[in-house]
Amino acid sequence: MPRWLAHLLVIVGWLLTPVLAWGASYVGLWVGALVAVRLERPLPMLSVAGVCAAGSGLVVLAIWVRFMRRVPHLLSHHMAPRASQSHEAAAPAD
Amino acid sequence: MSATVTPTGFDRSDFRTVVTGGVKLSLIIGAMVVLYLVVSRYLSGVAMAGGEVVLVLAGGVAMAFLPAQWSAARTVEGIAGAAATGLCSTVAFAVIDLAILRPAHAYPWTWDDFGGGTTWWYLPMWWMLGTFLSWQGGIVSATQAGRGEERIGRIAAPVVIGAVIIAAILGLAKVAVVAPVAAGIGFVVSLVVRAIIALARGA
Repeated sequence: MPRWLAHLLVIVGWLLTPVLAWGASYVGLWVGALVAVRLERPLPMLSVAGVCAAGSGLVVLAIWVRFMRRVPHLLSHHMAPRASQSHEAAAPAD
Repeated sequence: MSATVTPTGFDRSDFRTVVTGGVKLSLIIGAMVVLYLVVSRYLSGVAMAGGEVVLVLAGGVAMAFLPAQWSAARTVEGIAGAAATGLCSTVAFAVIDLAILRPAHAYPWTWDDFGGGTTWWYLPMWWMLGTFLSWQGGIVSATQAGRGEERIGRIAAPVVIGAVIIAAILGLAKVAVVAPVAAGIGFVVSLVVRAIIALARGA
């Protein structure tokens, strides 16, 4: 993998974080609403939906941040060597 | 007859208010970041921790309540304008950060270590947190304005006091966070609780 592509993946991954957290909170809200419609009073209904949305968003955010912190290390195994390193590897031993 | 939209006295969420407010706020936050770096580099011990806590709380107050002051939030329109100003300011701060602070090597290596060695982790975090603070601050400011209180000091004081109490509890409980981080956590929690109370009273 070219080094520029690995750096681009890290940058894009981090910049996608708000989209991911936003999407996860919507999914949480949807799941919470499915549960909340079984209730009768509006305040518990809103509370369940809100807690599910916030919980889902925060949990997915925590998992994503944990993953993104490891991404540079994971990509380092697949990145092409630096130009200086490849010259050293190609040079014949004296 | 002019076809342009002129901003009203309250609930200003027009493009000009949002963008100029966002740029102003980004400059304020940028100045606070520089001050924070100076304090952390040249002070030590209690003075450093105290200075950092004060700057974190001041930054929180600016981020949460200045957009609502500029958008004169009274209804959902002004609250949305405040949140948009907050988002705009975080994006403008990203430009300041990438153009000035980063090339000047302003941050210690430990800052990048949070993101696994990359420099890109905190910008999206700040976009989310900054917008959230301005949104919550807009809710609190709008409800307080409805009660006749518009002074930012009076509106922010309960939130700051709550933040200090929560930070003190975290410190006494020996939770492994440094003082400015505890103050930041305290500020966010205190602001959210204040906003929920304000919404419950208004419901």
